[in-house]
Amino acid sequence: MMSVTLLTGSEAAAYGAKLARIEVLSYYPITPAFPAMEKISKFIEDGELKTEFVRVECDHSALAAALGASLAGSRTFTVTTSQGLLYMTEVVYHTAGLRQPVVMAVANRALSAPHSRFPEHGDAISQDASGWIQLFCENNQEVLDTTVQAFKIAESCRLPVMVNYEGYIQSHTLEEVDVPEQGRVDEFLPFMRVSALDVNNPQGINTVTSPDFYMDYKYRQNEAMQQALESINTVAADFGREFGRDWSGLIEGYRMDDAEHAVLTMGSMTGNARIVIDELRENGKKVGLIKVRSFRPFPREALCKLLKNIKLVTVLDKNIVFGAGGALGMETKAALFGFRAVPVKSYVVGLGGRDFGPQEIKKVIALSEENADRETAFEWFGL
Amino acid sequence: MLNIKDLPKDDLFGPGNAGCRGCGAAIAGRQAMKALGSRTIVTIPASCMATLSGNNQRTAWNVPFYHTLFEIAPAVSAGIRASLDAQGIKDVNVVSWAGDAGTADIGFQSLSGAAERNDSIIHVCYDNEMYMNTGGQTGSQTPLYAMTSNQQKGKKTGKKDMLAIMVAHGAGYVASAAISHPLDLFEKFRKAAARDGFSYIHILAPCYRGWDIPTDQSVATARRAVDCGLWELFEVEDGIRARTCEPEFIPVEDYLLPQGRFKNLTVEQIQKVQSDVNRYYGRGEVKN
Amino acid sequence: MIIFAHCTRSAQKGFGASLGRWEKYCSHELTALGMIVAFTYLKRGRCILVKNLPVVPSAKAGSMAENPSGISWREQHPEINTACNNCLVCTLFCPEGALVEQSGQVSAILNLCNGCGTCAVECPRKAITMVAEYQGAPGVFSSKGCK
Repeated sequence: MMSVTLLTGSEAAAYGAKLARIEVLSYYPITPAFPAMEKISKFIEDGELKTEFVRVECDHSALAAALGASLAGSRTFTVTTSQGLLYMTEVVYHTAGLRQPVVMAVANRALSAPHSRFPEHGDAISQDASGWIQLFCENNQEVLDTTVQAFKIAESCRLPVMVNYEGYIQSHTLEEVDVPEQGRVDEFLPFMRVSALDVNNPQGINTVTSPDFYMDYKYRQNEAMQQALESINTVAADFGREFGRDWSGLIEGYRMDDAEHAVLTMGSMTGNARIVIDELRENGKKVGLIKVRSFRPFPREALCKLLKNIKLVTVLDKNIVFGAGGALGMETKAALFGFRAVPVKSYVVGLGGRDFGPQEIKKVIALSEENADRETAFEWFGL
Repeated sequence: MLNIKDLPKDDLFGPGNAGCRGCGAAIAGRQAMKALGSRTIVTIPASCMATLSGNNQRTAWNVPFYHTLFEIAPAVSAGIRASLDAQGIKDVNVVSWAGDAGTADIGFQSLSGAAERNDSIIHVCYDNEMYMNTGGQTGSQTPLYAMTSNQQKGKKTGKKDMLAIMVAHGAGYVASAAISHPLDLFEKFRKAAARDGFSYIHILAPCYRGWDIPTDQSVATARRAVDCGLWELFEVEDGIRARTCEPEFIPVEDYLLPQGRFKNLTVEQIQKVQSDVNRYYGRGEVKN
Repeated sequence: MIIFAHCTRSAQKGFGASLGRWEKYCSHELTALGMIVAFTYLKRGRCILVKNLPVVPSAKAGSMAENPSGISWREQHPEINTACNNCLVCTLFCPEGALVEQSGQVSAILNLCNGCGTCAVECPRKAITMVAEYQGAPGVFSSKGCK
C-alpha cells in the first residue's frame, strides 16, 4: 500500500534516499539543494533513518566523505548543485574511476558567472565526461523512483549515478507523490556489502598508475558504462513490475508511432512538452515527443530506432557548450550520423531560469518547422 | 617508557618502498606502523609517501591503504570512520597520513573540518618542510630563510604553527614528534590510537634531497633540530601541555649550517633564529 | 570461440556475475611472472586485447617487497661486526626495514637495502661499516652521492 502525499522534488529525493536505507550521508548546503539535505537530516534526528552523518566543511569534502564511506563498504548518498558540483568535480571523476556506487542528487542550477541561482542543465552537462551515469527526471514522482532505482543501477554496474532534477521548478514545487512502502523497497534493493578497505583483506587502492595500465582501466570503465545501457532498462522494468511505474528506462517515445516531427526534451520541460504535443495532435499535426531520461550513457541505438521514419527533429537544450552548441543537440546529430540523414534543429532555451513553458514550446516547434530547411549548428530561443 | 625489544618485529609498511636513500618519510612510516598495528586503515593524499608506497599493481603497505586526491585525506578518513561506525566496527584505527602540503596548505580545509567535528581519526603530518613530491617548492611549513627549488633567495616568512592551530581547534590530542626519537613517537601514536576523537601528530622527517644533506644524515639532522630547540617535542592532551623531551640547547647554527638549504644564511639571520629560540624558551640572550 | 563467448556473456551480466575468477573486485593474485593476463573481448568481429585488471584500481598488500628496486643502484651496503650487542636501535632507523634481528643478532636483508648509510651513523657502538659495492679503480665520474 502506498501513501500519496504532496512533496517537493527535494523531499522526494530525501524519501528516495531514506527508502534506500543509506548508511552514510554527507553534504554541504547550497541553494537550491539544501531542502533535500535538511529533510534527510530530519529523518535521522527523528529516528526514522539510521544513518551516520558527516557534517563536512565544503562540497568537495562532501563527496570525499561519501566516497571514503563507500570504499569502506557503506551505501552512501549526497546532494548538490551547480557551484558545489563544479567544486567537487575532481572527486566526481575520481569516484567514477574508483568504480564506487555513490548516488548523488543534483538540483540543476546555472553556473556562475554571472551568478545565477535559477535552473538549467549546465551543471550536469559539465560532468558528462566524468564517468557518472546521468539520469534526468520529469517530475517529483520520478525523482523519488529514480533515486531508488539509482542505487540498484549503481551497485550492479559499480558506477556512480547522478539523479538530476531542476532547482525551484522541481526542487521547491509541490506535486503529488506516491511514497512506496519500505518493506517492498527493501526487497527491491537488497544490500550486499563490498568493501575495498577491509583490515581482514588489505589492498592498496589507487596506486600511482603508469601508461601501461591506465588506458586499460579506462577501457573497462567504459565497458561498465555500456553495460549500464542494459542495466538502466532492466532496473526500470523490475521497478515497474513491483511498483507500477517504470519511467521507460533509457528513453521514452510519446506519440511517436506515426510522427513526422520529433521533439527531444530532457528534465522538467518534458511534462510541459507532453501537453503541447497533445494539443498539436488534436489539431492534426503529426508530432511526437522523445524524452531522454539517460544522458549518460547516451542511448544511441534506442534513439535512432525512434527516429527511423522521422522527417524533422527538434532538440531543446537547457544548456550550452560554448563554441559548439546544446549538448543534447550534438549527441543527437552524432547518433544520427551514418544512420539517416534528417534535419536536426537544435535550440538553446531557458538558460539561467528563463521561462520555458508550454507557450514557448509551442512557438519553438512552429519556428523549427518554418526553418526546417535552414541548416544551422544551433539557435537561441527566448532572447 | 617503552623498550625497543617490546616492539613488534613485523613491518606493516616499509620493505621494498621506492623512497630515496635515507628517506625520512619512510622512516616515520615504519616507526608509526609499529605502534598502530594491523587493524589500521591509512589514507594518503598526493605526496612523496603516496608515490614511494608503490605503483600499478604493487604496494609497500600491509594494511588497507588508499591514495586519495590531494585535499581530501581527512575528509575521506571521516567518511571511512562513519562507515565503520555504521557497521559497528570499533577497533580499527583510521589514519590520514599527509605531507606538509596535504596538511597545512591544500589539505588545510578538510583537516580543519575533521578537527572541528572531532572525528575519531588520527591525522599525521610527516613534515619535510617543502613540497618534495613536486621537486621541493616552498610551502607554509618551510622555515624562515630556507632555500627551495622555487625560492632560491630563501623564504621571507616563518613556519605556520600547525600544532598551535590544532590546539586552537580543541583537538583532544596534539603532539609533535621526530624520527630521531622513535620511542617518544611510539608513545604518542599509542596514546592517539587509544583515544576517541580527533588526534594530530606532526613528525619532523628530514629529506636529504630537499634539505641538501648527505643520505645518512636524516635521523641525525632531526636530532639536532630537537636538541637546538627549534623543534620542540611536546604533547597537549585534553588541553594539558607537557614537553616530552628537554632540549640540550646546542647552538642553532649546528643544526642550520650543515644543511645546504641554509648555506647562505648571514650571521644576522642566524642570530635572529637563535634569539627567537631563546625568547621562546625564556632563556639566554635575546636580541630584539 | 567458446572462450570468447563465455567472456562476452560475463561482461554483460553485471557485477554480481562478473565477480568470477577473472574479474576480482580488488587486486587479484600475482602470477609467477608478475601481474597481467591478456583477456579478449569479441566486439563485432574485432578482437580487443585488454589487460585483466581489478574493478577498483588496487594492488595486493606487501607486493613491493617481492621486487624491491634499491638493489640495482645501491652504491654501498652495511656490514655488521662483533661489536653489535643487539640493541636494535638501527632497526628503527632503516627506511627500508632491511635490518632485522635474526637468532639474537642484527643482520641486513641485502635485497631490501638501498645503501643510504643511516644505520652506520646511528649505531651507538659503531658496529656497522658501509662497504662500497664497487671496489675497483675509480671511473671518470665521481659517485659521491646524487643530488
